[in-house]
Amino acid sequence: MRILGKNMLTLLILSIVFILLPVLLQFNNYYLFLATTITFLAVIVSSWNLIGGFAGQLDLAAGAYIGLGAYTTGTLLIRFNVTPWLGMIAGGLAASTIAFLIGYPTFRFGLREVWYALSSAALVPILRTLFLLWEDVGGPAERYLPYYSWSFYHLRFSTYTVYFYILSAFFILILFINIFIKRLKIGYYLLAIRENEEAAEMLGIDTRRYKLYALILYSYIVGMIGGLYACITGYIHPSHFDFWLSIQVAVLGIVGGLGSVAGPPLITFVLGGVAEYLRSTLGAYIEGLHLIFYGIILMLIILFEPKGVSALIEKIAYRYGRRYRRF
Amino acid sequence: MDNSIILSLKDVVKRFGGLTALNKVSFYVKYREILGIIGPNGAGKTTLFNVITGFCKPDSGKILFKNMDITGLPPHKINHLGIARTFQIVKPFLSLTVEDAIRVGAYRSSNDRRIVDEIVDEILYITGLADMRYRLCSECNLVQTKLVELGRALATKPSLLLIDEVASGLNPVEIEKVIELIKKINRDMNITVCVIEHVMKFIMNVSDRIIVLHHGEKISEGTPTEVSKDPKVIEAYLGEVR
Repeated sequence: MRILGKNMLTLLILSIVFILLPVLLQFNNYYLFLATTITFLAVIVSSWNLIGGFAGQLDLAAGAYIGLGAYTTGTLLIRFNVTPWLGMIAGGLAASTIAFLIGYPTFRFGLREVWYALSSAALVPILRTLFLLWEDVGGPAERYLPYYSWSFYHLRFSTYTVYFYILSAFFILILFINIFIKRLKIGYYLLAIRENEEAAEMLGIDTRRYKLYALILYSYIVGMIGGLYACITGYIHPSHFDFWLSIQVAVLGIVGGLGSVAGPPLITFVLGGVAEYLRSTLGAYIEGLHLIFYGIILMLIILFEPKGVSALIEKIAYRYGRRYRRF
Repeated sequence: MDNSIILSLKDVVKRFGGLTALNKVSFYVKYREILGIIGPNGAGKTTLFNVITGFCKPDSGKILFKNMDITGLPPHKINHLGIARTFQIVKPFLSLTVEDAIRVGAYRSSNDRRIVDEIVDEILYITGLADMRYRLCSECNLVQTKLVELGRALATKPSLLLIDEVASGLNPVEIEKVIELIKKINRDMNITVCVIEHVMKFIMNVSDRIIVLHHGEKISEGTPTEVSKDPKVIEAYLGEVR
């Protein structure tokens, strides 16, 4: 527990902020919806950090794992009335099984960096098409989850507050995992793999195995979140295999700072708010104008600090602490 | 089996397409010696290290480490058996601190953070990098980068260390320091060392025994004085004597 020390305090404060947030937002459904979507994204970005940030593999399959989790959880609930709490566990399992089946051969035959990015990106449209054709789980039609206005068993609520709290719990958990992994052997090994795979291999690191560990953990969490996503949206549809989400997650992970615990979620929350503000103010004039501004902001950050937001925080901390610390 | 031998190669052949990089190379390394490997450019020295450490598989031949056949094992398994190496073209962990880069190696010996930290302190002391410990590897100059690379290899606690051209690009004072370091590693840490080197002053000074490679073949073997007088070696370096 020594290694958590200061971080424990930060996480505690963060938890309190999350608990109080719905009250501060006066339970306004629109703001809560916004907070829920942004937290949803932050959880995925933070778990992407494990494979993309630590292990340095540009994974673009987040949309696929969300879809797999959503379909597993949704179908189990619709068909067999299995509670989504179990459904999410199964969803995570489904996502990491597919991730393993893709990851094992790609890592085995040395596909890495851009090639890994391409092969993982292909997973999203492939699965989307497969599920479009698979009539048993709904095919091209939307399948609705049973409606309840307040049911913990079915994980269906008419307010976003509960979903927000569940996602917040996931968020704190994934931050925990990030902090832990960063301080443990596996964290150092993954960073070494990202920095130089051959050198890492020569230092006794089974690079393939450690990359798979990161991939499985990441896809499991994203799969679980996918299950929750099905409950939040209330239906399952092939559009849950969302390639735009994959891109968004990778972009936020990179802009936030690869391998940083604080950077990616921070930038997700800030940019999530900014994006929504731009959408609500500019979106009314010309459609898509807000996306242009959003893109410009991203470009400015990368131009100004190519290593991402975390490097900026580190520089400031270095100036005051005279010692290199990672955030 | 001779128990004074830590590593031996038997008729190792490695071809790249039409080029035979290693042609039936056989040699041995004795426990606790420093073996120098020299040869003109393209003689197959680095390929030899790549074959030993599993980065490429030999086409034929056998590699025995502590009487165990290690031919074709992947690098990480070879490291677990006790062979570490540095690279001719440095492969630094640029965005890690010096301390963390060495810690990556140290985690090979133990999962216990306290033991790992002890190893890191020890390695930082031996390599003289203690002042640099919190700096990033990207801030290091060439000597420091090479020392970090040596340090993280040492941190895996090898019994055999393969050093690939550590002195190239260093000035005479720095070379002197590295020679001292390698001798210290060999003497105080009981590590057998193989060094590939171009800088003659370095290799003659540091090695107990030298083998000479030329066009992928071993053409000479012996003490530094013996090798430097061998006509075949002189021919390989200076061209044929007419």
